[in-house]
Parts: sequence; C-alpha cells; structure tokens
Amino acid sequence: MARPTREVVNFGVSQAQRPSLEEDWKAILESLDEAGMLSFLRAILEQRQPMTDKLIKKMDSAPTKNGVKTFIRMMMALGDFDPEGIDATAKALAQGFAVAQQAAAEPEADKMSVWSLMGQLKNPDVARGMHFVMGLLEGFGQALKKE
Amino acid sequence: MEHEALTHLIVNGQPISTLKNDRLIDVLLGHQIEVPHVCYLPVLGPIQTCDTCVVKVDGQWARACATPVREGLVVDTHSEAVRERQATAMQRILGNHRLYCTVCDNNNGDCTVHNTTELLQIEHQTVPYARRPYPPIDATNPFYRYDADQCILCGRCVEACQNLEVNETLSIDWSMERPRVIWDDHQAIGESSCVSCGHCVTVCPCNALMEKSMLGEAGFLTGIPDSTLKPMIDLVEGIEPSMGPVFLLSDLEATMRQSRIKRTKTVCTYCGVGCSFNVWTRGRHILQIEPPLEAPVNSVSTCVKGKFGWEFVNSPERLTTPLIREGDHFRPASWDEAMGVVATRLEAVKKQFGKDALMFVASSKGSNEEAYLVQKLARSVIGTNNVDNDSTYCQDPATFGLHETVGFGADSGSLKDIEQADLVVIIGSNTAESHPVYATRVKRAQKTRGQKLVVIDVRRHEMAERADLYIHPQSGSDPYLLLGIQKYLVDQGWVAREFLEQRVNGYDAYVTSLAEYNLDWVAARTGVSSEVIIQLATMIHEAERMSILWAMGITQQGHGSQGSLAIANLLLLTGNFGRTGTGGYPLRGHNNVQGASDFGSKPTYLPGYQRVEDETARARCEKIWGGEPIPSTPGISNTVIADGVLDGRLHALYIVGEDTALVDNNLSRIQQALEQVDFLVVQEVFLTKTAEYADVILPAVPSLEKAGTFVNTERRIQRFYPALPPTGDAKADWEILTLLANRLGAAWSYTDPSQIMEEVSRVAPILAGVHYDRLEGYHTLSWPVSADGTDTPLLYRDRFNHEDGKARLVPVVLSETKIPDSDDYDVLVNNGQLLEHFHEGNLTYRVPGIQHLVPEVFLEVSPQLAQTKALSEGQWVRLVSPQGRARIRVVVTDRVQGNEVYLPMNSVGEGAVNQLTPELLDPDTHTPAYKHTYAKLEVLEEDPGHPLPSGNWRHQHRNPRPGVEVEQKWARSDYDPLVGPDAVGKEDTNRG
Repeated sequence: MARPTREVVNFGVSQAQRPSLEEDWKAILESLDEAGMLSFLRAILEQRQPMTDKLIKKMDSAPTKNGVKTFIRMMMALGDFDPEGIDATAKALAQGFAVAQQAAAEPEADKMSVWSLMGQLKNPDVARGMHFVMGLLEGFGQALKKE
Repeated sequence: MEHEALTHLIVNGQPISTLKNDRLIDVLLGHQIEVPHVCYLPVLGPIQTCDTCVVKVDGQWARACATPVREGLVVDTHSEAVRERQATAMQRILGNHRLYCTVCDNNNGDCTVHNTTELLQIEHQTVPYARRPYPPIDATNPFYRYDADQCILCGRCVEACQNLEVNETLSIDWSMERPRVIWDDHQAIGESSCVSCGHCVTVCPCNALMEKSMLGEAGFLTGIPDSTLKPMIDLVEGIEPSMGPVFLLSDLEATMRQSRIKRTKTVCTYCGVGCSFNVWTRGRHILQIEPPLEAPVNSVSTCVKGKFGWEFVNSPERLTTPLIREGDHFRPASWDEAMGVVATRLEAVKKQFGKDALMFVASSKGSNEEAYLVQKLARSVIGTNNVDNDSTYCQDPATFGLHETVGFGADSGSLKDIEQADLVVIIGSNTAESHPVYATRVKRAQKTRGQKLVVIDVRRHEMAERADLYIHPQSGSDPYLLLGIQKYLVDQGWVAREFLEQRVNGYDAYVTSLAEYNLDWVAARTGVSSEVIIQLATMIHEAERMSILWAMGITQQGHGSQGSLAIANLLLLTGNFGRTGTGGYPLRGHNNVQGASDFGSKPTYLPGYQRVEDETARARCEKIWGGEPIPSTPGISNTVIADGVLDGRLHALYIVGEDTALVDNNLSRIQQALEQVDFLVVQEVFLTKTAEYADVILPAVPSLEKAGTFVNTERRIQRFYPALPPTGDAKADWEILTLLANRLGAAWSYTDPSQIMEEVSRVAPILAGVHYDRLEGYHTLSWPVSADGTDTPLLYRDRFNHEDGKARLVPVVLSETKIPDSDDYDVLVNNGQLLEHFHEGNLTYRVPGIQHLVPEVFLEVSPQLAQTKALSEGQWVRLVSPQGRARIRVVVTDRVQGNEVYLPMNSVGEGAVNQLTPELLDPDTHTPAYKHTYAKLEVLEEDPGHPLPSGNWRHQHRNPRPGVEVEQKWARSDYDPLVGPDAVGKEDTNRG
C-alpha cells in the first residue's frame, strides 16, 4: 500500500571549507569563463589545424603574397634610415603641413604668378625647404643609378 | 532490367549523360560542376527569385533551376560573362543583406548567402545595402524571430510554408516599396496562423529567420549587446577595403565554433513519424534542431514539438538520483542500495506468489534495445510472459486487422507511397496535429499534384477542412460505413478481379458476409446518405492507387480490431496492396510503439512477432538467453493491470517510462490498483503521476542523453546518438535493466546498445540483417530485413505474409458497443492529441514556449451546444461520466458539431480525460474504447477566462497562395531581368 506522494526529503550534504588560493583560482577561472575567454582559447587550440589551413589557403594568392612581400621589404628598408634624421624630418613635415594649411586658407591663395613664385624663393625658410627637396631628389637619382 | 533513356548534353564543352527532364541544376551539381544558387533547394523545387544560378543554355540566359534537360542542350556555366552575371544577381541580394558574418549567429559554415558570396569572389559591394523603411524585427513567436533588414526575399520560407508544410501562412508582399515576408495579412507572427513548425527557419539561407535559441549563443562574439555591436559593424565596414579580410575572419571564427557546437543526429520522440535531425548543442544548451535534406522521412520538415520542444531535458524537475519510498515520502539513495531493494523485493514476490505475479511494462518511447531487454528480463530472468507496452492502449486493433488479412501487423509502405497515391482516405485521424509531418506530404500532394483526399471523422479538423470529400458519420459507425461501401463496390462489379483471383483467399465467403450492408441500412446506421456512400465508392473505383490512413478514431472504438479488419478488406477488394501508392497505414502514435512490439514487449509475441506458443521460436530464444524457460501461454496485457492487482493476481509492477496512472482508462480504478500493489518500480525521467505511487523510482534519461534505435510507423529502423551526457546520476533504461538483471543473477554483459541489436538479429528472423553499421548516420532499414541487409520499404509486392503467400479476406463481426443507460449522458466526449503537446504533457509542459502557446487543456464545444447550455467562451464546465468527472474551460468552435465535444489529453490534473473514459475493451485486443465516452455537461459559474491565448493559430485564418508568386517580382518596375530575351547588360543597381 503506497499513497501517492511528490515529497522528496533531501539529506543535505555539507560543503567542505575551501582554501583561499583555490578560491582565487576558481574566481579567476570563473571570470574567464564568464567572459567567454576559456571557450575562446579552447576553440583556438582545438581548431588550430583547420584554422591554419584556412589562413594558408587564403594567403596563398598572388595579391596577398605581393602585399606581404611589399610590407616585409618596406620594413627592412626602414632600417637604413637615420632615426634622428627621420625625427627632424617628421617635425619639419608637421610644421610644413601647418604652415601650408594657413597659406592655402589666405584670401589670395587662389592666385599665383611666376614673379610672386620667384619672390618666394628669397624667403630663407622656403629656400631651405627647396634645398631639402632637391637633396632628396639627388639621393633618389644616385640610388636609381646604382640599380 | 528496364533501362531509362538517357539524354545527352554538352556542358562547358564536355559531354554529359543524364535522365531526361531532370533539372539542369541537379545535373550540374551531381557532376560536381559549380553553380551558385541561393533560393534553390531540391525539396522545394525551383523558386526562381535569386537569379544566381543563371547560365547560358543554347546561347540564351536561363536559370539552371528552372531548366529541364533535353537532348543536345549546350550549357555554359563558367565563362567570364556567366560568372559576371551570377555576381550581378548576388550583388542584388547583398543590397538587402548586411554581411556582419563574424558576429552573426548563422556563421556556422553553412550559411548559403555567405558561401555564395565567397564562391563568386565578390570583393566589393556594388548595390549599397539599405535598411527597410519599417520596423524590421518581429519577435512575437516564442521560438523564432524575423529580421526584415537581413531578409534577401528568396522566398524559400514562403515556398516551404505554402507548398511543403502547406500551413499557408507566409507570403511576400511584392506590392510594398521594399517588399518583405508577411504572415497572413500582415499579422504579427505571434498572432498569425503560424503553427511554429519551423520549416521557414530551417530553410532560410541566412539569418533573417532564426531560432531564438541561437541568438547570442552560437558565436564567440554574437552575445555582444546591440548597443556595442552595431557601432562595431559600422566601424569594420568603414575601414575594410574589401570583403576578403572580413570573410577570412568570419571563416576562422566559424571554424572555432566547431569546438563549442556539437551536432548530433537524433530521431524525434514525439510521434510515430520518425523525423530525424541534427541537434546542435553548446554544453547543455540546445541551440537548434537542424533537419537535413537527407533525413529519410522528413527531409527539412518538422512540427513544433520536433523543432522546438526539447528544453524539458534541462528542467530542474528531472529525476537525478534513485529514490526509495519511506512511508509518505521518498529519499535519495545510491544505485547500489536501490538495486538491492528492487532485486530483493521482486525475488520475494516471485517466491511467494509465483512468476506470473509480476508484470513488466516497456516504454513505447524507449529504444528497441530497451523494449527487448524489458521482455528478456520478464521472460528469461523472471519467467513470465506478463510484459506489454503502450500499443495495447492504441494500435493493437490495427495490427490485428492487418495481421489477419495481409500478414504483417504494420504499415504496408512508406510515406513516399502515400505521396504517390491518387486517393488518400483518412479515417479517425487528426493527422495534421497527431502526425504533422505525415500530413504535410498529403496536403502537398493534394495542393500541388491534385491528389484526392477523403476524410471520415466526427471532428472537422484541418484535414477535414481540406478534404475533397468530408464525411461525418455517427461516432463509432465507421466499420458499418466501410462495409456498406464494399457491398456497393461488389454489387457494381468494381472489385479487382484479377488481383483477387491470383492473390487473395476467401472472396466468396466474404461477399456473402456483406449481404446485410445495403445502402439504406448503412445510411440509417451511420447517418451518411446513400449518395455520399456512392460518391465515395465511385472515387475509390476511379482511383488507380489508394492509400488508407487511420488512427485512434478507429482503433479506440470498442470494435477497433473489426474496424481495422474492414479497412484491410476494402484495400484487398480493390487491389490496393503491393504497389507504390497503395496500402494500409495505421499511424502509430508514439515514436517507438511499433518497435516496442516488434522487439517483443508483448504478452503474446517474442521478438519479431514469433508467437509464444511457437515451440521452435521459444527454443531459439531460450538457447540464446539462458535462464528461465519461457512459458508457452500468453501473459496478460497492460489493460488488465488494474484487474490483476485488485483481484490478487499481480503483486509487483515494473513500469518503464509509461504514465499508467494517467493513460489507462478509468483512472480511479488504476490509481487504486497502483496504491494497493505490493511493490511498484518506476523508471522515469520525471516524477510522474505513476511514479508518485512507486516504492522505488529509478532515474532514466531521455533519448537525447543515450544511444539506440527506434522503429517508426513505416517499419523504418533508425539510429539515434547521445547529444548530451546523462543528467545527474540518471542512466539509460538499457543500463538500468542490465544492472537489475545482473542483480537478479543473470550475466548480461552489454556495454553498448549495438551488442543488444546483434543479439536481436539472431533471435528474430525478420530482423536478421539489422546491425548498427548498416544504420550509421542517416542510413535506415525497413523490416523485414534479410541477413544480407536487404530491407522491405514496400510490403507485399510479390506475396502476402501467409504460408501460401496469399492474403485473406476475413468477414467482419460487429457487435454494438454499450452506451450508458441513462439519457443524462448525452454528450459524446471525443478525445485525442493536440499539436503542441505530447500526450498528457509530462514533457511539453516543461518547454516554456509550448506552455506559452497552449498553457492548459480546453474543451471544444459546438456553437449549438454553447447556445443550448448558454455557454460563453472560456466558461468552466464539468463533465460527468459514470466513471468520474473532469473540470475544464470551453472553447466554442465549429470543429465539433451538436452534442459532440473534444477534450484533448494534455492534462495531468482535473481536466484529464481518462477520468471519464469507460471500462470497455475491444474484444479482440483489449484496447480500451476511449472514444466511446459519454458524459453529461454541467455549467459552472466561476472564474471566467480564456484557456486558449488569443494569438493561437486556431483563432486565425490562413492565407493560401500558389507559392512565392515570383511573377509579381518580375513585373516590378525596379526589376531588370537577368535571363530571357529582355535580359539586362552588365551595369546594374537593382536590389534583389
């Protein structure tokens, strides 16, 4: 004889005290898990092979290869530059852009005659700039000749 | 062997041979020739909205999907001009769709829009994406949402809804400035005629229609809130020079998802159709159900339960540890202790009262292997034939009718045969709700191919609404109607003479037995006019191929076996067996009610329908099983449990996965028996009503947490695999049974269900060739399966399953079923399944979305009865039968007539129908006459309210259309054709 019942009496299981180091690790792992980082990392590790295959497949095309080559050579070429010279040039370029913007905003900026251009060459700052550009062209030409 | 004529064509300069009239796209794809396509799916046919499969055929632009092959066709699929044109079509699509793939939940490697864009190497978008000028999101359905801003208007969803599922809800409003998919006449999804079957979501080629369970869950970055996500998408779009890097990133992310998303093939457990699909899980979260094209029964089709009804597996109410009764409560116990108690008590009962004092009930929801082990436990460990399954409650009469006549008590063919029929007759089956995916193929054949549909039923359900001829007979009079039709067919000479002479015995005696069923008598007895009987007989006569589908409306009538016999006889008389498109189809209700019987959990049958009286069969089983000798007399069926306990024959019950306390007829009597039985063990997933009476409850797992096979209504054996680990300490039924058998002294060594199937193949000749390796993935076998693996999807092509190979016409013997004496019981309480809920709802009430759609049971009453009793919508009523009473709220509907009401079985409380059902049994099979329930209806004056939410599809009107109506798209002023004589040139800014 058994009367119907839905009652289940649970005999509670006491929780053991955890050491705080373990607690910290658990908290860190839980946070990583909550942020999705654990599954993200796990997925990368587990799928490294097919992901690499996809990457390689995508990269194994003429435009990608050319792009990568160009990037690498440009990086190597940068090594030939004098860092201090670059620094000074970069500063000069920044100031040049600032003055250029002001000049372009002048009311008479839409007019320029040959005479006024010649007159500008007398300005020592313009002359220095011109020498820089001419020097750049000269070095460029020398390098092309060596090729 | 007959050779079909081949057609020859030239594709890209190469010769190809194929069958005439195949679709060009299928031929090309079949020969691994790349053709982009977005809207095309073989199961849906050509939709012709996307234009991406454009190719040159004999020098003309044409869609490959809509071009049938013919001799000499010259096709160009890969010239630059063709690729450019295909890219133009794709660009139009992208004007409607934003490619934020990496943060899209549909980026799982199978997104058609993503993959086609990549295939066409589109690097820059030429048709700028523009949002829709209306609110894009409709999230009013509990299971899925529509995002118009991502919708490419391919129309797959519409085609699936209109012409595959044929629920006829979705269409595209091509008249809008920016068209969109609409539900009915621009209803919100949650207030439309949508039945949440999920077809549209499954076939959507992008993320426009998505399962809500996927949103924010599938990807690594998809859970980002919209407020952050949208600026991120804008940023990426703003700085990316081309789509290449974006696609690389999304491809890498999609690859990473394979680590977190597990896809497992399973077989649905919500009815006997046997839909199979992949369950996508992330941890224990069910992301989606994905029915693949190759699923053998259903392809991309599902119903609401199969697609969305699985959250119960994570219910906190799951049983996770064995429970042992202590007085008026249960306490948790270890498996060891629980098994000790069960073994000791069962042995004690056996010793004190004998082997036949124990009764075992196998689950019709469990696997074949588990049903086999339940009967093996009963027979070889205990030594009794007292073992049964749920088929006694429902399908045994159909088995009887077919077994007597054609020899196998099962469906004679497959769903594909039903699709091929010229005439389908459905009797006593609300197929659209009880076997929804079967119904889709009948509705589709009727709508798209002109198949004729006749429905004989007391309730005007969806199939009745759609029928070419709907017949409402007096309840339970169907067998008389069937005999009247046969008498008329014989009188007219409209029988299959040659077939009868060559393949059927007993014709003369059978014709004699029909003598009394003349038109006038039958009309008077059934309430169906002579004219209608003649009309139906004429339709049957004119149909080359007829299939008859039936279910509980026949089998649960008190003479269900004789009714089923009448159906089988009608099919024999008209020669409708053994050919594609013909046959008898009792629609099995539970996912494995067929298999539980096939594998021997019946008091009369050993596995494979070998009778227990068969000495050779017993000897074969005893040799393989060892243990106790098998008794040569049949055991008792589960409809005799209450009597058996109350009259002292039964002292211990072992019930696996059946809620006997609710599904037996006359609940008060079975519940009394469960209370009184000396020892009751229940293996269950939840604490069901039956489990409440148990002495020991053993926690079992549902199908998603175990492996095994099921047999569907087609006799198709299908494997399912574990998608999730077991919950808590719960175990698969086969593991529990193995533990118990060994505790009782047996030496079972099963460690995997495949080993059980190996044993079955040696025990049951009709299953001789069934092995797990032949059932891998989506491979299936339909029994009988010979040792070499040859199976039998269509029975009786050459011979019937009797010794001489001939079928038998068996005279039908009908006796009137008793109805209550008192005139007070003037309401006929028809009852059955409801689309949304499975049976009493133990599983489906634990799915919040289904609970939202149909929160409680209701009683359908007719407008006439509502008027007579002054009932208003939602009014509480009490039904009182001689057996008991039920309290329910009413829904007034013309699905029922006069004093006939319909009470679905989805209640475990005071609305439970089996409080009312009578103690009448079918004399041949002991199946209860559930449908023969009469009651009086009392109006209760309390707490009005509506049991069925106003948004429910039953309150809405469908919107039948021929399909996508792509002609309306082509007629728009902003559409320039890419195919045909008016095809445009290269420059293009159309939006697809």
